[in-house]
Amino acid sequence: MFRAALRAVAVYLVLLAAACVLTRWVTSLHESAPREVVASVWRHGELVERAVYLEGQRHDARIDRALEQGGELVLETIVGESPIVVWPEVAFGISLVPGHDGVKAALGGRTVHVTPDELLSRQLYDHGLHIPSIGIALGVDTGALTTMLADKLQASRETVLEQASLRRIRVARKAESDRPRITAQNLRREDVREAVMAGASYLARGLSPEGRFRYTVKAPGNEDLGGYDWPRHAGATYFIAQVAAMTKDPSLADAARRAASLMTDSGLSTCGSLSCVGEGNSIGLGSTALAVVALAEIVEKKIDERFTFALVGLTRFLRSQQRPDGEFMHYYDRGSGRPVDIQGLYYSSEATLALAKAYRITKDPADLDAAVRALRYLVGPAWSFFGDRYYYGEEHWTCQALGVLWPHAPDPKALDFCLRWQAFGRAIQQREGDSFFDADGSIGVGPVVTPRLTPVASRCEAAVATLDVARRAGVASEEVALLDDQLRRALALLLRQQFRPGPRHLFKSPEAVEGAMPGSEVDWELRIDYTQHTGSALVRWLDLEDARERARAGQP
Amino acid sequence: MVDATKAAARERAVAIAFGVVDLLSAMLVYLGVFEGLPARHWLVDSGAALLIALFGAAGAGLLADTPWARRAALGASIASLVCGLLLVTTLALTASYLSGIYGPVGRGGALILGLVAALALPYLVAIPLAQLAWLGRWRAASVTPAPPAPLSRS
Repeated sequence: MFRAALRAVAVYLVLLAAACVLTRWVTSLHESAPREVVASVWRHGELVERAVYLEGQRHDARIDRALEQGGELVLETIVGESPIVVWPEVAFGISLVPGHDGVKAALGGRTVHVTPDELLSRQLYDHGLHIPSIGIALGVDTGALTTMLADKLQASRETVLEQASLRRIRVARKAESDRPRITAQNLRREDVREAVMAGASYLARGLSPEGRFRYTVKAPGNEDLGGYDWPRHAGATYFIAQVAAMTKDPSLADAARRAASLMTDSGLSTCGSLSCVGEGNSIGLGSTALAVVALAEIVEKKIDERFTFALVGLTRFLRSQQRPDGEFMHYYDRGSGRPVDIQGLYYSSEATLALAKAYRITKDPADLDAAVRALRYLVGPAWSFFGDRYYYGEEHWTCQALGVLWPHAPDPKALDFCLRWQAFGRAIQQREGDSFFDADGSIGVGPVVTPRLTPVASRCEAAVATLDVARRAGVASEEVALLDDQLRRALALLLRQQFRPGPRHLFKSPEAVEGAMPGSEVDWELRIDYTQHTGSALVRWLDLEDARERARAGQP
Repeated sequence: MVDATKAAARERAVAIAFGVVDLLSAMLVYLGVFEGLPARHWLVDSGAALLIALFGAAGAGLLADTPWARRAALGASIASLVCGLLLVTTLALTASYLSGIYGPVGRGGALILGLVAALALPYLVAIPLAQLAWLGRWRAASVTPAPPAPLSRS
């Protein structure tokens, strides 16, 4: 029996290998000649006319007529096709490379196309299978895609799935709003400065008179998606203050002041005898910590020194939440009037950065001592487990705290931690060609998941601080060069993906979303922290580069 | 006589070892599917439930030396071999499909698929094959030669 089983397994392996080769060949893109061109006229984010013709032929007169009414012509040339499966649904969903692939469907002599632009406009990529436990969504929303195909084919969804021939199409897109590609090699300070200004302008444009941001905006229709969060409000305020200080722009200074006033007015609560930022019974430490970061920037850069009083009060609350070992208790229960000794992600390092920045204003040794002890805890006991040299999370505030504290209390152990953290980031950073996505500088989690941009941006914030300290501390030039290259590649990616102006033809109001950072190259829900993390990283990098330039020129 | 006793003791030790391995496999399938996977799918869940039941029965039976233990172990081995090969087929064809769609499956994807295969193959393919080999020897040993047919008087 054993020999028979072994023989069966051997035969099976040979057949499996053959099946794999065949599957790969069938599902790979096959170029057709002559190639088809899908010509689309978009107006105010809506597809108003379409014609499909063979490459080299003159396009349809309908396109010319539509263009006379205004709009943008986009040509999507089909450079390859392959069959796809529609069952199981998850396989159907991941059969299209996000942002690059669309579908061609044929039914009863009629052929229709759903191009990547249409899928982007409807925001269907990466809205298929949701895996909440690891926080990712992958694949196309197949339900909505099938409905689109059914509408175009004038058939029912069931008929499309059962009878239509569906093929994946890869397109090469040519639009009027295309711009030159920014890379680590051609990254210029002027480009970065413009990106910073555009990001700050985007956030400031969305600020209400009372100081509330447009929290999340769906870019294609310029729709507000609601929701709000105090830590992210504080972060966005911090970024606007950074840019206001850099540019001396009075409108940005006013925006920073208004956003800060909201935190110190309606956002302010009492936690026992101290003031804190947040709402409800359970107050998280992060909202107060990032409020202190923002207020410290506003006061230090002399945008408005009247916030010093609020800053000192909030700093006292942060210190009251610290344990003797340096760790923080992350919540305060206003009902019982006690801190809650539970820890989540980010709050400890946010509080550390806040205390470090506050010290530069308060000059209170208690703030410095609290920040030093917190940093020591973060890079010591908080990251001590078997294998802690081989794995790091995406917590990115610790190394920013290192940067702020270094002139006052240098901590070589913290620098070592941050260098190792960056080396880990370098190892998982993608390079050109690693995937079909805009890969160089990104942090990918597999071939079918579109890389998110916010983790790149937040790592850049930490990388700039680490690079700054590494240079001051005299770290080996080879390691500094690696860090510099890693940072430039990531910053170039962020600049490439920022909406400046982005695919204007797919937006109802391109000017409303100009300067914003999307969640990924296909996720165009714009949350305020996406722009903030990118912007703060770019501002800090400019500071660093400007300082080096001055040093090279022999200026103070 | 002594040799027969030794052989029986060795046979019992092997049965206990396979019993422990079967119970361990049941536990690992439970952890991998019902605790590890982030989403539920009836096909995977029912296959896993069947494997857990068969491995559990085979393990308990072999440890308790019940008369039905070896039949249960045979069923568990065949079922897990089928499931294991189906898993390998699915992983390999998925990798080929993704490779066709996304180009060379990125290092990350290949690593994940490879790790899943490395984790599952010993329990779902190698051990069942070893158990089948052992059960095959046992069946061969337990088949006694048929007595000669009585001579006809005519």
